[in-house]
Amino acid sequence: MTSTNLRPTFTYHLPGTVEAASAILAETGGAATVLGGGTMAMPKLRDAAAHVDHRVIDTARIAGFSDLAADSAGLTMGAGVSYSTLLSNSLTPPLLRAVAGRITGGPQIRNQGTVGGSACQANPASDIPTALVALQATLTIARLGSKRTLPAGEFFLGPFRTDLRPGELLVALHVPATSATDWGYAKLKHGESSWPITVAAAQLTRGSDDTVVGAAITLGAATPTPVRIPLDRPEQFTTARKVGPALRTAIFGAIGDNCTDWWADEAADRDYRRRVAGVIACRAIDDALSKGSRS
Amino acid sequence: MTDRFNAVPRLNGDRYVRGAIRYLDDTVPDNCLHVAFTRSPHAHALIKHVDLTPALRAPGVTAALSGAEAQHLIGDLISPLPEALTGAAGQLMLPCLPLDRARFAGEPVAVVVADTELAARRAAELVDIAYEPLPPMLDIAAATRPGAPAQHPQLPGNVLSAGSVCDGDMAQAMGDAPYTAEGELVLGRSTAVPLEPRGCIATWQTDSQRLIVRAATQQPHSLRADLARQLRLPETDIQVIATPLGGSFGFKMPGLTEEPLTCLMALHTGRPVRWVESRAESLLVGAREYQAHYRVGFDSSGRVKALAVDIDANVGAPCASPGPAMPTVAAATFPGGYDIADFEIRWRAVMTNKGPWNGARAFGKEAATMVMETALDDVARKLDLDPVEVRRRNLLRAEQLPHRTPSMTVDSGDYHKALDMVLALADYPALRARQRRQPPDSATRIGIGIAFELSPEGIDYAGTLARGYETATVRLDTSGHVTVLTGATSPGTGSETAIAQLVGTQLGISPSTVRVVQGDTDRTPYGSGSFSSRAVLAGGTAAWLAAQDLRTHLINAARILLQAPDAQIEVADGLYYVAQEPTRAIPIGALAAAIRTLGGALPGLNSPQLEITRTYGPQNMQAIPDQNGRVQQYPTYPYSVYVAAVEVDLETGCTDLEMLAAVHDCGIVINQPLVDAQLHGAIAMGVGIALYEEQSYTADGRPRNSSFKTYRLPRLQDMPELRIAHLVSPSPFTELGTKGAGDGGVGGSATAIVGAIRDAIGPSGIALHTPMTPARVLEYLDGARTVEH
Repeated sequence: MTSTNLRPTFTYHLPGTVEAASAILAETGGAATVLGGGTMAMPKLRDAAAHVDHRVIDTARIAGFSDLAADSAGLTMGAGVSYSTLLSNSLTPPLLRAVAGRITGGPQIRNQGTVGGSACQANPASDIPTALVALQATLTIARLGSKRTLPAGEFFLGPFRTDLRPGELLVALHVPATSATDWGYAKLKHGESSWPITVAAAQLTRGSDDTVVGAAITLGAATPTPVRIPLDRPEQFTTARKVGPALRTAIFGAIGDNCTDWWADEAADRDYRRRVAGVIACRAIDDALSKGSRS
Repeated sequence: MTDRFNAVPRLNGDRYVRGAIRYLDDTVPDNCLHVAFTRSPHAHALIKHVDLTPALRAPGVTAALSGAEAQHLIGDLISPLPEALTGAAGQLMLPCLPLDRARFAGEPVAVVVADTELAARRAAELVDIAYEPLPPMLDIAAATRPGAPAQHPQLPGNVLSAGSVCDGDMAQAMGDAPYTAEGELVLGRSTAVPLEPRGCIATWQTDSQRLIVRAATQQPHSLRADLARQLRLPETDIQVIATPLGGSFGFKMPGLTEEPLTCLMALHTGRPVRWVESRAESLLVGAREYQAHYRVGFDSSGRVKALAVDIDANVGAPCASPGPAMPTVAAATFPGGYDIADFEIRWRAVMTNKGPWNGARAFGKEAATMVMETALDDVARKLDLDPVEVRRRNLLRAEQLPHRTPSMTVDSGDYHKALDMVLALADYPALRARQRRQPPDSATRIGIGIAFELSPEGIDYAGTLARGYETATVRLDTSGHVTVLTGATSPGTGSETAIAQLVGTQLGISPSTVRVVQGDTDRTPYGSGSFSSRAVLAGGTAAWLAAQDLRTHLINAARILLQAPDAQIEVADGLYYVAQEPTRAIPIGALAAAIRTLGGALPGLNSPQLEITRTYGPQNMQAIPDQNGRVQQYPTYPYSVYVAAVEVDLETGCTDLEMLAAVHDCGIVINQPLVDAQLHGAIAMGVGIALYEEQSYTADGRPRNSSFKTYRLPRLQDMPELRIAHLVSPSPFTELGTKGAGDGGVGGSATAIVGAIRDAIGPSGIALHTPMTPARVLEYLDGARTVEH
């Protein structure tokens, strides 16, 4: 005998192509839930079960959705690439590998959760949006009969809000080949089960003489949407082993100049996030410096 | 060490692990209806009008009731708090559904039943209720302000109960003390969180004309008595079957409204009616929220001369569960295991517009531990003494026990030895040395916390159905197997295994041949189920005594049947045999067959009786006030000592809980792995209280923590390295020397962790406030920086 519980009733679609999925989306006028791995969508469907009937479009069988491919321009991955795939595939950029390895949850979440799903969820308190903005990724979005691309930085409009319009489907993500040599990642959360309170990705680009010629911090979870902050005078990172007082002041200053709005949720309020954002950014830089190519 | 009680692995452990246990939610009777509640969206509102019509018109809906209708069909809930505590005239009555006032966001205001849970929940949202919202009173100050609207008509000031526990002359001793310290402490709102939420399935059986209630409950007999009264049925017309519980921790004691209303709907519709709460609904109920002010007077050696505590509990909306009794226990547990002659503990339980309380593990004692130990840390700091020294100078010595206070007779133990043991386990000197070596500019700081916890167990709530006594029937069959019928239940802890061991030990048989029947009011004797560590303490001992009587009877029969009337009979491996002559033996099954077939007929075999019933309750209780007004509800006093080591990140306020050492003494142990499991679970709760778990509210009184993503339980990765050792100090007041192991570890571990954070940071102008989230740690740190300058 089955347990009832509150299982949502929905019409389930399992399209095999982007075109088929787009056709269903067009038909519903966008009033459908698109499933990546379902780790966030399924609980939401269950919680909302008392209110609405659903159409669910599962992207699991869409051709190419879980593929990664690299060429000279960079890496292209389907929206359905899971965290496990990021961890096991040799093409995965170092930052995404670091992010995937530290996702909250066990193997089930890593096997099931997808990059595209997390991007579309646009939860400020998550890892993927920050990583995509840090990587200056480009997102490919399809609708019936057309496609468009836009930078990750323009995709995330606000908490749980993206530029995805009714009838549109995120199909692929492109990470451009980068000149950045060292990546660092830091994440603050309170307790294993918590969503991140602050995440920071650091990017250092070294010239042929090892001089740091580009440095950037991307801050997420602390802010409603990820904020990418190029840092002035990158050369000051060239010989650093760790962020010292002067660099720290510079990083805190850059964050103060670039971040005006802070995120708050059950895990932490705005004041706390504002206070620790710089700390986590410095730790991300420390992480990047620890991987530096200095001999 | 010989294992007197033949400890075995949990008898049903494999069934839990394999998923073979059928919990309440695994059953859906044919033709069953599902309950949903229309819940108030307001924390505080007048209910002006309830229109059920839109819900009744919704698809699949069979019936719906408002408070106005339900009041004629079902009796009120009655709080177990006595008049002496509440000060109300008569028992505290609560209608099952409110008539005119919603008192917390999420309070059931109407009930709907429908063909599916989905239909019921959708229809519940259609009930049209006109509210007049009122300002919510979320804290004690708001609820006790003059003119604050009464949350219960019998209690105009919103103080549900209040009192004091005093000894000696606190004011005089405080005045005489050369030093004093004082402080504030806030224990944030948290709750017991069984993974299985509450629920029940009620069926009116037309052939037997009985109401059959399957319920996720700790106390089936108590629930049956309550239901009988409320539904105006004789108790015999109701059978309550407690299903295997996926945890409970005090959360599944009767007194909240959903069970009786589900049963009412079964009577009302004549169909099986099923209710299982959601996680969000489960998290509406609270169990802890205290604010305390303490003042301690002491001499230059750190000896405490006087203690004054005001402890107020925010117990949320009034309810009839035993939960609101917990602040009473908090107060009665002072001054813990310490030798303090002059103290005054004043307490209040105040009703507000937060969710009601049900019971939760440690039952208020965790609050007493945290206040007591925090005060002692202050003493150490003020005198620049090691906090361990302050404990040494104040803990009762073994030879002082039993030690009497106005609310306790602390039984037995060696607190100083336990303290020494835990310091060795933790390698305390090495921890302190490491702490001293920290560079002053380090971004992290090590902290070390000490806590002694006294955890009174085995409560007897005389005057209610929650008694300290248990009854067991032990019945032998011709297979040589035994059935134990016990009033004690298992919330998933394995009490059945311990009971089987005790009976098996008496009768010389394997525990695996003992079947323990629990939770079915048709089959088991009266009993109070499980709470306050009584399942083995009282329930196990009742079974032990019944088995002892049966053993005597069997030995007599063996003498007759073995034709050895004067011989000493020994018992082992299912055989009753003449001492020194193991070949002159009779198997227990044959013995049972002989007694059943020849008892009363064969000369010497006096009775065919093969089942014996005994009732047992520990000594050392004074449940009804004596002529001096002294009340002692707890008979046993397990204790434990903790050392926690943390590393606090001064930049983020994050706490890395490195290690927790514990020495635990719950008297005689029947099954060490089961006791260890209890302690591990209790420590996990302590970690949650100290660092993670909190039910917070929006300014308008809506609960913010409705899932495990926002009500954060510690996970395995959040647990420290545990170093655990045990001491065994038998209780002189219980048959087997047992004391109970259900609550020990919650308050002590939480307090040691909080103490360690405080130790890392130093004194602060900011009150301690649990859970010590990173934000609160930083706030506390800021307060400390103010103190330093």
